Amino acid sequence: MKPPRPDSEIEQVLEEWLETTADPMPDTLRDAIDETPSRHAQLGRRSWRDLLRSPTRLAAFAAVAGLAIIAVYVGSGVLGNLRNAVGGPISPEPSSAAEFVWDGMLNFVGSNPAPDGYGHTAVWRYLSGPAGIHDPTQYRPLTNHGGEGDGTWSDPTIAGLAIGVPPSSESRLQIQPADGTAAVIAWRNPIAETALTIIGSVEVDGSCGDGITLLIDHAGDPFRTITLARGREDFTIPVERFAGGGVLHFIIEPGANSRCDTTWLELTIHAPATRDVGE
Amino acid sequence: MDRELVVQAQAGDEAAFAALAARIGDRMYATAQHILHDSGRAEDAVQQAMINIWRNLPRLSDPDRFRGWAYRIVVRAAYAEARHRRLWMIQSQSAGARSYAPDHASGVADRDQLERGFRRLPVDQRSVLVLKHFSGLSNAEIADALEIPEGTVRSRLHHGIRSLRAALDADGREPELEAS
Repeated sequence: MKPPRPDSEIEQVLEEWLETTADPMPDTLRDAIDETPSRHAQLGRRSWRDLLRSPTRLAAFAAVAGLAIIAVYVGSGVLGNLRNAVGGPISPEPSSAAEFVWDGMLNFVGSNPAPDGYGHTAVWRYLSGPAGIHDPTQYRPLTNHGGEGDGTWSDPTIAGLAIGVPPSSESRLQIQPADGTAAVIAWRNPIAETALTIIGSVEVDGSCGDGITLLIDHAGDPFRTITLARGREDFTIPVERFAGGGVLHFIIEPGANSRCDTTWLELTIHAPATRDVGE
Repeated sequence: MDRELVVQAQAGDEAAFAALAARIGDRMYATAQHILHDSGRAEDAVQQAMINIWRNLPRLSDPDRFRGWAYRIVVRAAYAEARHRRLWMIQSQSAGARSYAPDHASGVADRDQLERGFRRLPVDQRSVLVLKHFSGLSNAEIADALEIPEGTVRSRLHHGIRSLRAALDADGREPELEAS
């Protein structure tokens, strides 16, 4: 029977293998990288291709396109109000679908409350609230903003609680609840009563801790509750009617404690184009 | 890493960014390729990462930390690609497709055995092994890049190496078992 190989031998074989199998960048990628600054300026913060590559986003696209077609047939002046929909705060892109898309990450721009990409103010709010009590009257706005990337909102009186988009979070919001305190993202419907589709995913740090609960809540009445010890769960929630000015709350609650409760939330809210009630 | 280039790129100098990207690009691409085992996905990850690097570069407070910071963005982009791929694989498997069939041929070289073992590792372990043994990051830099404690880095390295040893030794024992 052979003696076990020492770590150093395994590491040497690994290093040689990694080095000899490392390909140089393809020329197509090299060209694309050379064009990165101008490409970024043209596309804003996320490419249309990227939006369509995600299965959840494709599902959203299909769902909202269907709703849009229904809205067009139902009529009542909808056609005159169709507008380009997909886009972030930098440079909205035209969309072939008549829909609004509010993206929690794209609309995270370092203000609280934050506007959407269509010129509506105070659409998103970043809040804290007592865990286990889903009472919007008890939610308080986070007041401190700082850090790299698009930054993070926090409250100096609540240790550890944060909602942000640091560079490492990529296309997701990164959220950390605190012991006994939930982190809350509020979205206000800035248009008239409409059908909505809420689409996203929630992922919690899988290395330790006792997990989190995500509640998607309207006026204390949850549309969906997802409890995750670790890993990721996708969600698609159709809402038949949602009033103009109505507020959705996305509540991340800690488990027994907030250790290892870092949570990543991918979130888009879709609505067929309809009359815009403005501000 | 040329600090001056980082500073110039932070100020919006596109030529400086292009020079910076040329210096790190091959290594970044190979890192993503090793993590993802998919050239196309690695291209997508690096392309997305470069956009994120360009976008966030002005906010990097310490230009001397550029290397670790850039790796962090590439790794996160690779993770995002891995998540997309996992979702698609689940869908394709439910339709009856299966993309991987292990090769049980005996007598192959260490490198082939290692490759098989490496492919079987979870992406978390592959990432720390690649960052440590290919990208040359320290444990502290890996912890920073992956946003995990240093103890977790050491643990993943340990388990990764142990799994590779098991793959090498298991394949290496096969001829003896057949001969007995």
